[in-house]
Amino acid sequence: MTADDDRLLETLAAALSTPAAEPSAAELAMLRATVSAPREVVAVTPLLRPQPRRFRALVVLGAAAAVVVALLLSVQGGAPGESSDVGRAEASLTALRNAVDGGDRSATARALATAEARLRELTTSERAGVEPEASAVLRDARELLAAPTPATTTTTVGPPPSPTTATPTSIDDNGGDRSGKRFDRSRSNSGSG
Amino acid sequence: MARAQDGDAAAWEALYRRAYPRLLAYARRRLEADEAREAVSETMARAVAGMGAFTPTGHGFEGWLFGICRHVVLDAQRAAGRRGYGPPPGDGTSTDPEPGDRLVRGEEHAAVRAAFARLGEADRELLELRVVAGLTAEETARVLGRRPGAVRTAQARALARLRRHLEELGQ
Repeated sequence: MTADDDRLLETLAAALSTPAAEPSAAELAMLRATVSAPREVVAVTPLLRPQPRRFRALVVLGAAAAVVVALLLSVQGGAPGESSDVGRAEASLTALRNAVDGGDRSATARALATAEARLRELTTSERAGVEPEASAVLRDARELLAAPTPATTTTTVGPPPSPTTATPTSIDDNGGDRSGKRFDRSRSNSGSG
Repeated sequence: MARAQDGDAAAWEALYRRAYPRLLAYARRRLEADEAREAVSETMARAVAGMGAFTPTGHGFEGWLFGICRHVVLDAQRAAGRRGYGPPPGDGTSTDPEPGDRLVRGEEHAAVRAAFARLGEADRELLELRVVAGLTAEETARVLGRRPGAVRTAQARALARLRRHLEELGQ
């Protein structure tokens, strides 16, 4: 990395910079709802505690019945008009997408094998129904697995927010700035949690 | 980070506020404004859902998060039936406080953007991850599934090509 490269990167950062942006109230509310959704499911559990034993038994029986019905539906084909093979294939593709997005190569490899197996169980018309998403996620997974494994380095601690696009001020030979590893010196290394 | 992994909404909000400008700037390079905002929201939703699988090693949360964002943006592009870059965000206005320099710098930035537009997609994406997303070489390597050394080499080559394009444009 030369001084000229430093200057060019600084100029490029300034040229590509955008006005400061922050999440809207609606976007923050959506995030909070996403984060809290699992808790709301868990929060049902304490309601069972103060109830009389007979009522609790009824609730448990009802839940068990619901589970049995759900299992039967999944065995017999899930939602009307959709084969169980398609449902399983879609579930495997969702799991694969999550693994790819998470960048977890071993999980991706497992999920890819599962997804490929599930897709092989589909008829031509069923397979057409899950395209082009199926091919896209399979391709992403294969690309991830084909890519060379990144070398492990020490954990990069995330920076505090930058009001606008990151602007490099000084960049060392390792590609980071000389005060740390990032372009924007205003972003310290103390806030990533 | 530990609080976020425990499902602390306030911790997630702090992470969101910190990453939002750069996630949006990155997504906006390829998507329309509304699509870019949706992509950022989807990125965070996937991050929340996948946080249990995230291990705070290697190249950190930011690299992981931008890896998700990259996939979300690609998905959005596929859904829209297009590939590559959308319109640039606004005119790339830079916040130059010196009125006397504004015109000169504005011209210089316009030339840089024109030269940047001539780069191949791989060069543009790499440089955007470095200067728009503000990622380190290591984080960029994680996003792109490459080795940090390869990213630094590719960056040097991309800058050389950018400089050549600038010269061709008379800068």
